[in-house]
Amino acid sequence: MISEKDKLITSYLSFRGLQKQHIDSFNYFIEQRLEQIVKSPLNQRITCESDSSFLLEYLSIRVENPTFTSSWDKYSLKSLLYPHECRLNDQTYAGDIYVNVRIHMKGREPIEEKDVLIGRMPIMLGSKKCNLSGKTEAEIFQYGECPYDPKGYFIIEGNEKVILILEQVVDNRIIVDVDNKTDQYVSTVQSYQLETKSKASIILKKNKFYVKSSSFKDAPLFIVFKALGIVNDKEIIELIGTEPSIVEKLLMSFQDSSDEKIKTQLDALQYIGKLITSKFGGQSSNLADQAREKLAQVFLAHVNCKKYDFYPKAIYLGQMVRRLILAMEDKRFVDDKDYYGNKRMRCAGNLLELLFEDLFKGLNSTISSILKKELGKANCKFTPKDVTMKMKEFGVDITKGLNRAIKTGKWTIQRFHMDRQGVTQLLARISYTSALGMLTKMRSQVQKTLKVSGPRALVGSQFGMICPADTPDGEDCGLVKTLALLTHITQEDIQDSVYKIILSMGVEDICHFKPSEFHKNYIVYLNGIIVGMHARPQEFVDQLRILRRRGKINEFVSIHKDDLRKVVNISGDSGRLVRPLILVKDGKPQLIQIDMIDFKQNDAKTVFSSFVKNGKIEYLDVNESDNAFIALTINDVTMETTHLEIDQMTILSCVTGLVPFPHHNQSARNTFQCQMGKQSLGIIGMNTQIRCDTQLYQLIYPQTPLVRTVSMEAVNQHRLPAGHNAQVAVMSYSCYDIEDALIMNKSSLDRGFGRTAVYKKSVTECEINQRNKESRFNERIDEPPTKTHNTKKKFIKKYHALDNDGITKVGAQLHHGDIYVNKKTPQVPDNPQTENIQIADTPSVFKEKWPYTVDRVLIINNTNDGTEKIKTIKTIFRQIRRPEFGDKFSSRHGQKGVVGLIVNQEDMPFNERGWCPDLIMNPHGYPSRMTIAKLMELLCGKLGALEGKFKYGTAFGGENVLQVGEELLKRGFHYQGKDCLISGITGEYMECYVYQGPIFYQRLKHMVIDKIHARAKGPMEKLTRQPVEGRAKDGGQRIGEMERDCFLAYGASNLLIERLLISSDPFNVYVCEICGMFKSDSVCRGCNTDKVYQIRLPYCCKLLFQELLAMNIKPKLQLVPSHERQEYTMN
Amino acid sequence: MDIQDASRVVYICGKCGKDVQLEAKDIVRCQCGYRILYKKRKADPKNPPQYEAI
Repeated sequence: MISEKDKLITSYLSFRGLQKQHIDSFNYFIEQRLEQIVKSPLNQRITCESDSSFLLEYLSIRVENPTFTSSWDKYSLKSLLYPHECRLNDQTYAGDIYVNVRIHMKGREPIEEKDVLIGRMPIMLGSKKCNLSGKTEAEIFQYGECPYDPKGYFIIEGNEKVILILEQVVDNRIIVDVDNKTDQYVSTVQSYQLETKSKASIILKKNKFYVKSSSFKDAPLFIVFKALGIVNDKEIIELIGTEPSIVEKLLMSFQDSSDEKIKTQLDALQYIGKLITSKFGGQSSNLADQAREKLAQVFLAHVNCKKYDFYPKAIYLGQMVRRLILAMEDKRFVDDKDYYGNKRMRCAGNLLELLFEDLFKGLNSTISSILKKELGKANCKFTPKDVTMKMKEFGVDITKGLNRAIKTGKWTIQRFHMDRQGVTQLLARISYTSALGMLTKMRSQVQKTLKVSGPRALVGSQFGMICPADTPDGEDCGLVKTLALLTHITQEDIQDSVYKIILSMGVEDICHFKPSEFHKNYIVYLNGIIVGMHARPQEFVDQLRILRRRGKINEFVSIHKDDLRKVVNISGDSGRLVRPLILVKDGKPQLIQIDMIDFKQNDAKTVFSSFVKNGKIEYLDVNESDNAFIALTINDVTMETTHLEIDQMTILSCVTGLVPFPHHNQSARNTFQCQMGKQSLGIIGMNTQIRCDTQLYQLIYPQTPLVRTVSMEAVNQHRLPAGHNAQVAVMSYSCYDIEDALIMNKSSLDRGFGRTAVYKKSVTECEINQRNKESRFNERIDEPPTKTHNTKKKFIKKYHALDNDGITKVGAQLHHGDIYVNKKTPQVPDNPQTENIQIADTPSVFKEKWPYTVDRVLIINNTNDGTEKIKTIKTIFRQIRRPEFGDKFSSRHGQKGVVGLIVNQEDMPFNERGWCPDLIMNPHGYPSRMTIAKLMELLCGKLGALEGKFKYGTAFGGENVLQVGEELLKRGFHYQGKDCLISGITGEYMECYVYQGPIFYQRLKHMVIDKIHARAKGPMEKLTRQPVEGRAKDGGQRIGEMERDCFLAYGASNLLIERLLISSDPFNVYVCEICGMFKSDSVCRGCNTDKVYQIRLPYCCKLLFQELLAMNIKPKLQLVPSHERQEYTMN
Repeated sequence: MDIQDASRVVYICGKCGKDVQLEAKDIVRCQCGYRILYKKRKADPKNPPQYEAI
């Protein structure tokens, strides 16, 4: 077949990127859904209660590219806004939303108002509306952007926010499942259709079937059927199935309707009307009408119901019951909720859609209520212009709502009872890999506390779609997942075209059949809705697939034949996971070597889509891959094979792609590396030098790994690497290497191994032009104080870094307590005319404990109109850190360790060629972890370094170790990578061979300098007078319950008293011997006695007693003279 | 630069790269209309910049 499969993957990812699912979803939202939302019958018109002739009609909506309006005196200029500028000056990367409306008003001609601004929509980077789309690498670079930046996120007030992919159970499909509580089978459908969301299920109670719905209480099945217009019992049974075993199960439920004396549809509707839980807003008092309305609009909402023709719903209900009964008899019919064909992924566009619709409805109702007030007035002077002005004014709510939701991650939509938190996350820019990992991350909705293993388990249907290695351990294990390299998430396909095509291919409308014929043929479902039946399903499915391969229907439409349930499922809905596969026909792959030449002539995108259009490559979703017979490699292809994997390595994610030879590692080690790869320091993009993140790490001399993988190259991870090719000797040295500690070569550190720059940002805002304040009360930045004879030296020293403008110099070194922005805030007195103004010092004081250097100072004015309200000063500090004891390092195989000892190079082992290791790793790390890949990486890296070539350790492929060994032998090295070393301490040859060579080591973000903490005395908690908690607050070290237990068991009681009382919160109180209460002095007036003694006890004990007193509980202290105490305790 | 201006702090425009001089009360803005200014690194004979030897 093709020898350049790698190229296929690389070129596919070069145009697709890893975040296409986000971008596609956002594009679909902007281009299709916005228009649909605005034009949906419920939103399109605004009417006025007080003036029936008023009508506002939305004609169209559009979103513009992000712009920025700058004004200069009277002129204002609209210019394109670029993401980098947003990051710098805390702006939102958003484009204006414009609508065209037609307004009908009393006594006026209908007026079309064009381009009414109703808010600003945050724009996803890389989407069609983004100003960067279609730009070349060089241009992107000019706009301060990294050409390798993954994009697919938003910038809200300067912060990069990702809307995570949300995993949900599929809507509009029948799912038969076992109920956790009752242990009974339940057949459920979650309907979701434009405006309505409802759930309907068939449950079994005492052998009788009931319909459980969100709109009415549990209703007997047969009564529901009758309410749907199927009055004849025989007909109902025929809709479900006439097999004797099915009829038998139905017998019990049969009696319900006759017991209730329900004979007609009206009887049944009235019965259900009584069961309705939430009443309509007084639309109709008639119970039957209410029931009819509920059945039409809420019950099985996704099944169309024209003019109250309930027959399609009855058929659907029949299918639900049938599935349930079949599942009761045969377990194969039970659906698996964790099966990935029954899952849908919700991307940014889907979630924004819900939010926008809610806000848009909010705007409409606000406008409507304003109109009611204004037009209701007797002398109404409201013009259409005023209406649009109001729309513009309240459109700010849309802007704010969108921004707030993305910023905080709180999605609250009352219509759908949706109140979700943590929908968005801040894009982690620790390394390039962490950003990529975040954009391919998926969250499940299952609660973390739930102790079922099902949703967490790795199931077969995830193969090729979800990475088996990349998931966190701990409580999120298996709930947070990562997409595999080639996985794509579908967008909704316009259904009409598919619908027409399948009707023309012999699918007959189900209503044309007698119910008794339903179960003889295959039923065809389109997006979960029954469209008809087909007599020759295999032929139909084959032909439909041919049409798809020719591009007649959307490439992402899935065609799945379920022989067990006798069903053909055709799905074009959004959120399905799909992946490309090579088609195989008659035992021959359709994509052959010659096709790869196209990549030389055309760009990757056109070539790949031509492969799809010519039926060489096909996208399969999880359901359809059940019908496919997929060969892993070309050697596995037989005559029955239908598809061929593009490459086996694509089952892994981009983060796992960092690991060389992952197929030789114990799987847990790959999972650990996936977590650590996201913490490794490197370069996060080509624009790091001009970025201003709150915290940014940058490795000063990053190296590209000697042993690479294809997936690394496909996503540019080799261009933005995170780590060094360290020369490693696997041997024991000095005992400071136990428990995974590493021995470092001091000279290597001098040469720059692991050296990292840490940038920290601090923002000072200065309100210099507040509208409601006089200018003399505004905040200002003052010059540093000058030296006079009575100023203290210490006082002046704090200001050493300041320039004349009161802001720190660039390049100055700041120590703890130094001032870097000398801000002053005048206090507004009660009576500004007479009183003197007090000016308070409100400077920005440097809080870090170790010195930093000022890297950059930005002075920003980010108000849109000409007036400047807030002057923002962003100071970026830099610190260069070389590795020290306790800093964390890791190889790419889940093998982390801390620096245990830094050794002078002369004490390190070396060989006669002059080679000397950068670090020494203890061989005990290998046997229990079984990271064979690390051994292989070393061997390949060694040869790569000698040859001057990069070696490949791609998953399920890569270099042949035997060959590598032989090559090493040819070059005069041991074929197993061992070498003879001379001890640096004794100068003698070592008695053993040492396994040595280059291994790619990552420096992790956990550094001792950020964690080191000690305190003798320090701040106390106000309430309890005990030491505060935490390093940031200079807190104490807690002696907790378990530590206390240890002291107790050891008998160190004086130590306990010291720790828990003397060093914590000792307090002296007076206690009356008679009443046993606290007294303020040595007399108790209540008991009229002076037998009041001073005792010492923890302050929080005193607090407890007082709190108990406040609750009417009297804790009485019984005093015992100290010399009698021994006796007292004995008794 | 005038002798008077020697004590004044010079900023650099983030877009056009020109030097900008501002008084404390001036609006933060370059002549080109850009509103992000950077402080200029200036030689200070008293405290010459010194790299840490690490």
